[in-house]
Amino acid sequence: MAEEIKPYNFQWKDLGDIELGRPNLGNTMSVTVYRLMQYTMRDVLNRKLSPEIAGELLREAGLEAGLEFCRNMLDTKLPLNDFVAQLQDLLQSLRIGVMRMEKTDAENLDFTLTVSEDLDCSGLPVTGVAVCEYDEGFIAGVFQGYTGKPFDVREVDCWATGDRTCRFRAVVTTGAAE
Amino acid sequence: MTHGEHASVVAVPDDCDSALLQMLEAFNDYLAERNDARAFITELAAGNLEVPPPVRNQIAAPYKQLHASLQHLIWQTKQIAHGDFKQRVHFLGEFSNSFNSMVEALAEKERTEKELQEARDQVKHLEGIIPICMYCKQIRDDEKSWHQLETYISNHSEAMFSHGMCPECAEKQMKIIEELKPVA
Repeated sequence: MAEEIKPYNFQWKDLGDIELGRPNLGNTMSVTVYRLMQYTMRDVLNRKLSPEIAGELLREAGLEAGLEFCRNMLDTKLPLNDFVAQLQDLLQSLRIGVMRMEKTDAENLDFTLTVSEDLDCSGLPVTGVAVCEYDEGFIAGVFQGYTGKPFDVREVDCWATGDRTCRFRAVVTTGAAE
Repeated sequence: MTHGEHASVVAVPDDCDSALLQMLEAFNDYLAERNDARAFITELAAGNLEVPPPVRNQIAAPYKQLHASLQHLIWQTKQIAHGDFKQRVHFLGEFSNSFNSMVEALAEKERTEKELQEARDQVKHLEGIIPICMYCKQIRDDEKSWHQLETYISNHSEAMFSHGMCPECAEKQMKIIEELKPVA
């Protein structure tokens, strides 16, 4: 099979050998530390560029992460329902969030899903602004990795806008896949 | 509002000062959010899960979370109805335990029914009218071939044969043997 040409440089192996590097501390860490990194970086991007560009950058990073996550952690040969079940189990076991499907239209590739206890935002102060751009990109990347088609994913509800669970709408687009 | 009635927005006088204006606008925003939330919760309580949840509504937020869980349950029950017994409900307390027990029982029932059907398929039985030769007692099968009676029955049932001799045949055979003995 020909080597797949990707439009980005990140590779899964760039994450390194965590077992080798952290034989005692292991592969888990606090959500506080994760958010500390994300939200300070977001703040710098907001100030140096703009909140809109920061959001776009996070979404694009999430897309790369979702694509690589799908390629390296998920079985894309599974039928849709089995793939969703695998994704749900993995997101939960990795403590990313509790994903639940609300609506699946496999024919038109239109999905509505929720993520409770979302790693990025659950428990944040309510600011009125949704903050899960990275998740939007991540979900788009996973669906694109599974279907081979690009997706537009938008967060409809977010903890930061006052909701208690994040709701996303994922719809296939007609653009070319990255 | 405290009597559970729909509350209309408060009219803002033209000549009110900015502090009062700000307060009235905030109150009216709250009122609109409260009315939307109430309408949504009322539909939810009536069992209408198709109602779209109000967007960016903090009052309705916990109910939207419940709504999301119920929508997911609908999706899961559809999967179960199509034979996917791997579905499990998480983080909904006693409901999770009951639902998951039910799905496990359904899976076990299907396994048992499948085993029963496989066992039934293994069982051979004879039925209907069987063509048999009235002289030699050979039996004709569906492909018009004639078979010994024991062969046919063995092939079409779980029965096996143990060969012996009935009293009538034993008497006949003994007479034949006697006749064959050389005369002293």
